[in-house]
Amino acid sequence: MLFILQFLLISESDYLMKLLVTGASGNIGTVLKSRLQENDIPFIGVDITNQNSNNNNFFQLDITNENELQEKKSVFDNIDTLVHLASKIDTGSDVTNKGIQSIDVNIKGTLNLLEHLPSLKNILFTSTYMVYGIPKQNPITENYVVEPHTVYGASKIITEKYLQVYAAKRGIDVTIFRYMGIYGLMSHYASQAIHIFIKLIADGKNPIIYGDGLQRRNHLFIDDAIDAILIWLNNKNPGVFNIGGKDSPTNLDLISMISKKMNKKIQPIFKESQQHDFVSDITLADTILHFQPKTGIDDGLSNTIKKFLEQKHS
Amino acid sequence: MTFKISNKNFLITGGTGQIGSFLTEKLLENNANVTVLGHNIENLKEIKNLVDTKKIKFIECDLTNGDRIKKIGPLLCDIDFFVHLSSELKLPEPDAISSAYHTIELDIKSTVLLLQQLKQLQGILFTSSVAVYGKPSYIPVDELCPIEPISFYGCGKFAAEKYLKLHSNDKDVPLTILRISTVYGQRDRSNQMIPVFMRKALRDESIDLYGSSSRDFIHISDVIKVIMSAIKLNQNNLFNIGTGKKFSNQFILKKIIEITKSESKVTYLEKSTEYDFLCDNSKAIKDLDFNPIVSIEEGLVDEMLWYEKEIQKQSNNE
Repeated sequence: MLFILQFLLISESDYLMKLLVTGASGNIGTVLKSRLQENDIPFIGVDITNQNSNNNNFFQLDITNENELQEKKSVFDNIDTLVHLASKIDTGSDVTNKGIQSIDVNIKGTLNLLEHLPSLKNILFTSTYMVYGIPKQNPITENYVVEPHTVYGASKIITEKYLQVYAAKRGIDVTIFRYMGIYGLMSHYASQAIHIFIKLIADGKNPIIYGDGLQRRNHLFIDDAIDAILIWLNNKNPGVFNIGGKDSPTNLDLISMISKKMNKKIQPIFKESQQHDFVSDITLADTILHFQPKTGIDDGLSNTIKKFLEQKHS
Repeated sequence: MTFKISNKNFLITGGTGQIGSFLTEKLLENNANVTVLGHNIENLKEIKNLVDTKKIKFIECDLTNGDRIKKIGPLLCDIDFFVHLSSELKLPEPDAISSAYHTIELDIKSTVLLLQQLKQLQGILFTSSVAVYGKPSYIPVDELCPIEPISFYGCGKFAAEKYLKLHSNDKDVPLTILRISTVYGQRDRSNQMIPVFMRKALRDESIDLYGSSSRDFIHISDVIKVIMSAIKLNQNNLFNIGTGKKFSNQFILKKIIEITKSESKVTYLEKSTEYDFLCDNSKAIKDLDFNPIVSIEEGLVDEMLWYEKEIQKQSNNE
């Protein structure tokens, strides 16, 4: 009996150690790691930064470094599922500035990594709503014309294309998530409008609103972003999917909700600027992936403010 | 905003190639100052005479060598117009990962590195390819057809388009992108279908014909005309460039055999991925005064006469 149990345990862990998560110490990766652990889903995490954990299943890795990839051959040979989060984020629009870096990491690094995963069957690649650029209509479906206006958006859409061509040749299934801007992680995504508003309002400062404040976005709460990955791990359905939030508040909505929740009276400052709505159509993710965001903006904001205050006082 | 070509400084990448060499000649006729970036000074082909007589400036630069691009940067500081033609139509194994890396270096990184050096630009023209559409969702293919490349070559072209577009928006430089269908005609040394058939037919070598798909073939002289027009108009816009007519590879081979009076033996073989391609060129007709006039018969004869001379030259050298 004991023998059988032991056998089962070994074979199960052996079976399950086939999942690789890159960018495991990044914005999404950190939260994904703890959710995977909570759900007893074994995985190997890699990240370019050294994370001081005693976890045997984590190691530091630069996906642009051929030698480092070769060293992990014994581990990588078994990987059949990849959640590829690792990415350089440059949301500027000047390609001559850091353009080369994002080409090396995002485009070349992705292909490099795949070349070292001989048993790979499924890839989840996290892309961004920024591949679309400035929309002329809303909501945006996945077949909308891509016209990125940031280096990050360009490098992501190009990686999508290379990945699809490469995977088709090897018979690997590809799933692409085009995430909306994610909120709910105070230590990261410092440029996210919601986080800027919370920080300013907490300090009693008046937030600056570009444009009239009526631009809408379906901001995505971090837990929903992670849910989408966990759902994918279950069904691994291929395709390109917009992953966005449940509600599409305006910036004025956000400011009034945040100030109410934080008991602060503020007066936003308006600055003239061309702004636009960005609401992604998430019907396809519902139909094919069976993913729906659960968190409304009200709960999402309460949760984010709570995290912010905890962090501030710790 | 129209652009006056005379006395302006042009940079041409891929200047020794088919489009590049003809365009260089055409720009010189229009009194432009031309700088050509080329892979190898030993292999200038049609522009050798222009370099020897110092009518154009030639800078040897392998575009996959980033350090070299940075080093020649100061030589490019006064460029007004950037014509980016460089392209690799002879990837030895187009499906291999090495080809993916090659396109990343050649199409993406070199484009960004060159843009870093070109600080006074008033216009950019980029020759992209209909390969960005892959197997098209519909034909005729207009500019809104979904981008679904099926080759690394197509990915590289698409990537270069996106980085050039970012730069054009950021620095307010007009960018013309021409997604050109299959070019043929004299000086075509590529490994595309027409030149391969032509070379073999002229030598009576056996020819393998794969599948029966159709393509939109455009003659080099029509391409040069539309590029000149696009440079002059200097619009910030994107166009498909083809004739709006398609011919099957069987038809093309039949014509080539006919005009070359070839005795080549033809073997018909199956092809796994087959699709037809046809351009909707109405946008270019409307906005670029585009008017392709060379018929496929005339064009093939033109390419044949050129190849006959090339083969003659080769045998004289032997």
